[in-house]
Parts: sequence; structure tokens; C-alpha cells
Amino acid sequence: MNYILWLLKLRKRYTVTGHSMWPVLRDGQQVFGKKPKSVSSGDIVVARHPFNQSYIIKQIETISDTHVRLISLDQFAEDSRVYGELPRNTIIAKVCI
Amino acid sequence: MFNTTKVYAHCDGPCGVYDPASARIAAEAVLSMTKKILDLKHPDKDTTQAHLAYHNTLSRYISIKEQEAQKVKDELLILWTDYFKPPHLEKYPNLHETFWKAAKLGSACKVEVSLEHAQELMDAVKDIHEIFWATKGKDVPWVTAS
Repeated sequence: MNYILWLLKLRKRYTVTGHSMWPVLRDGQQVFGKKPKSVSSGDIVVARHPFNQSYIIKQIETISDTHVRLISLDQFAEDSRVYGELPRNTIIAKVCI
Repeated sequence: MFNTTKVYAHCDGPCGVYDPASARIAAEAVLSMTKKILDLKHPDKDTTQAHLAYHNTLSRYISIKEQEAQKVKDELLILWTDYFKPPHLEKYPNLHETFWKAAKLGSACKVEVSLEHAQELMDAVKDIHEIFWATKGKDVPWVTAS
């Protein structure tokens, strides 16, 4: 289904680089993402990195009206424990698992 | 064919710049110094100058062996704790044992003047080299300087 939606340009494809989301997501794995109309804690999302020109893939730990706290599944990885909460609008996609 | 965007699930800044080569160079130095120490001959001449030269050379070889063995341990620790992740352990269940043994051999090479353990240290670093590059999906040959 996601593949068809991707052909219809209703999904984007992303390639995971790194191991911080193991065991849910593996290095090199491809995932589909959709527009984040509604997100909640536990969702895996793609977001803009707070100070690099890159995108990150993390899990929402907590979310408020304005900010979101993103965490990795590897407890020693760089995420909101390092750079703090991010503005909610940094989320660009919700990953379709 | 498929247009995808890279999304980073990196754990730390230096992701992607690890290389066991630095451990290999240090292990080679340990092996080399061990050979040199074992080949060293006590001076025949009973002169102060000869004794000074002998002890100076021996001390330098021992000092380098000590430093380089510590360097092997440091470099291995970085690979072990920073590069290798749970998915690697899943694929290589003996990973912890391999690193632990290599680190122990590094210590043994500091304590002893053992050609056997110095060679085993090289072999252990080679094992780690092979696991490391296999996790990267690259076929990097094991090449030594000497």
C-alpha cells in the first residue's frame, strides 16, 4: 500500500543511516514517510537536525503544543538528551511502520 | 531508480570515521619492539660506554613497547565502545570476547617480552579488522607495514 501511495507521491522514501534506531530500524533500511498531520508520543518521525544541514530519524518521547522531545532507541545516541527539545515544526514526516 | 532521502540515526559525531588501522600500526610496533628486545645482545666489552649504550637502547625499546601496547588498548576501546553497536553484536556474538582477549593480550605484551603474545596480539587485531570491514560491507585487505 505504501508503495502505491509513494507512486502517487503521497509518501516519501527515506534511507536510514546509522544504528541508533535499532532494533526497529536498521542501517540501510528504507522506510516510507507521510505528512505529519497528527503525531503523538511513540511515533517515529523524520525531523530537521537542530544545527546540521541534515535530517534525523527518531522517536517522539513527549510532545507539547510547541515542542517535541525526540529520542533514539540506543540510549547512548545523540538526540534530545543532548540538544534538548525541538520546535514541533522541525518534524517533516511521520514514518509509516 | 528510487529517489530516497538520507535520514540520520547516528549515535555520535565521528560516525563513519573509525578505522582499525591505527590499532594495527601500534600492534606492529609492539611486535617489532619485542623482536628487537629479544635480539639485543649484552655488550661483550665491560666499559661504561658500552653498558650505557646497551641500557639506553633496551630502555627505549621497552618504553616504545609499553606506549604502543597501551595505544592498541586505547584504539580498541574506541572501536569497541563507540563504533560497534547492538546489531553488530547480534551478527558477531563473539565480539565482546574478541575485544576482551585482544585487550588482555595488549596488557600481556606490556608485562612480558613475549614473541608469542605479540604475534597473538597482531592476530587478534586482524580478527577485529575483518569483523570491522565486514560490518561496513567492504573488502579491505589486511596489509602490514613490515
